[in-house]
Amino acid sequence: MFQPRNIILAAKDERGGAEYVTVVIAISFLLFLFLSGANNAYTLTRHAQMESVLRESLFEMERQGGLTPGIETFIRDSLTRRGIDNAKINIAGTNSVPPVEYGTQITLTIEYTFAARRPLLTGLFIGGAEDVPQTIRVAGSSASRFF
Amino acid sequence: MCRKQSVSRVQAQADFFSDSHGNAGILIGVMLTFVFALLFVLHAEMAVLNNKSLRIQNALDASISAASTHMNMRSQAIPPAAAEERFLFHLRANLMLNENFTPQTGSVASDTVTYEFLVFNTLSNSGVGSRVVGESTPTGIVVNDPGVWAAVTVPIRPFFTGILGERIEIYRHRLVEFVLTR
Repeated sequence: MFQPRNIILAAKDERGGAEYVTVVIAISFLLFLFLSGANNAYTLTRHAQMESVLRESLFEMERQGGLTPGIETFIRDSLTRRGIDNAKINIAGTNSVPPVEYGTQITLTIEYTFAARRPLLTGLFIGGAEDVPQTIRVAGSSASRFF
Repeated sequence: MCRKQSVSRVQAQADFFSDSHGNAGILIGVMLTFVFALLFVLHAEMAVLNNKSLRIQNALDASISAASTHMNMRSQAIPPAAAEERFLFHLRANLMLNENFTPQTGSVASDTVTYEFLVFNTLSNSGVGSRVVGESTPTGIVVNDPGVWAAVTVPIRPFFTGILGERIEIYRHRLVEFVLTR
C-alpha cells in the first residue's frame, strides 16, 4: 500500500489532497487531546489511591494515638502495591511516641513526586514530549481516640 | 523549464481546492472530531469532580470523627458548642479553608464553604444547641443514639465553565452515633 508508486499516484490525484490533510490534522488533534488527558488521568488516579490510603491510615492513627512504624509500613505497602515507587513517597505525621492524648489533634501528610510526561505541540502537530516534575500531596487532620 | 514547473504547481493547487467530489466527507470528519473531543472533555471533567467529591467526603469524615471525641462516656452526653468548635477546626484544616471559610491556595473549594452541624443527645442530656435522640437529620435519617451529624456544601469551579457553568455545588453529609447498651 505504501509503495512509492502509490504515493506518487496519490500526490498526482486530481481530486486534490484535502482529505489527507484533514485526516492528518484530526488525528494529530485527537492524539494530543488523548495524550494530555492520559497524563491527567494518571495524576487523578494516583490522587484517588493516595486519598484512600490516607483515609484508612488516619483512622488507624486515631486509634493508636499517632503515626506508628506499622502504619507507615502499611502506607508504603499499599501505595507500592498500586504501582507507586516507594523511594518517591514522603510521609509526615504526628508521632505516636508518646501516644497523643484523647481528643488532641493528629495530622498526616503523604507526598508523591514523579516526572509527568507532557506532549509538546509544534504548530498543529505533536513535536515531542517533556518531563515535568509533579507532586501529589494529600493531607488530613483528626483527633486522637487513644486512651 | 522553470516556467513549466511553476505552471504545474499552480495547476496542482487548483486541483486541490477545486475537488469536484464535494467536501461532505471532510465536514463530517471535522464535526465528528469535535463531538469526540467534547465527549472526552466531559468524561475528564466528571472524573475530576468525582475525585473532588471523594476528597470532600474524606475531609468531612475526619472532621466529624474528631468532633465525636467530645462524647462524655460517663454521662453519655456531647457538649454542642465544644463539639462544633472542634469540628470546624478540623474542617478548616482538611478542606484548607481560612477562618471565614473562604478557600486557601490548593483547596478544592472555589468559594465560601457552608456547613450544618447538629448534636443529638438523650432527653435527659439535651440542652441548648442540641436535638433530642429520636428526631431526624435534615437528610431524613432518624437518630436513635447520641451522636453528631454534619453536612457541607462546597462550591467548585469546573474546568470547562462554558459547558457546566461557573459553579457546581457538592453536598456531602455524615452521621456518627454512639450505640448505647439497652
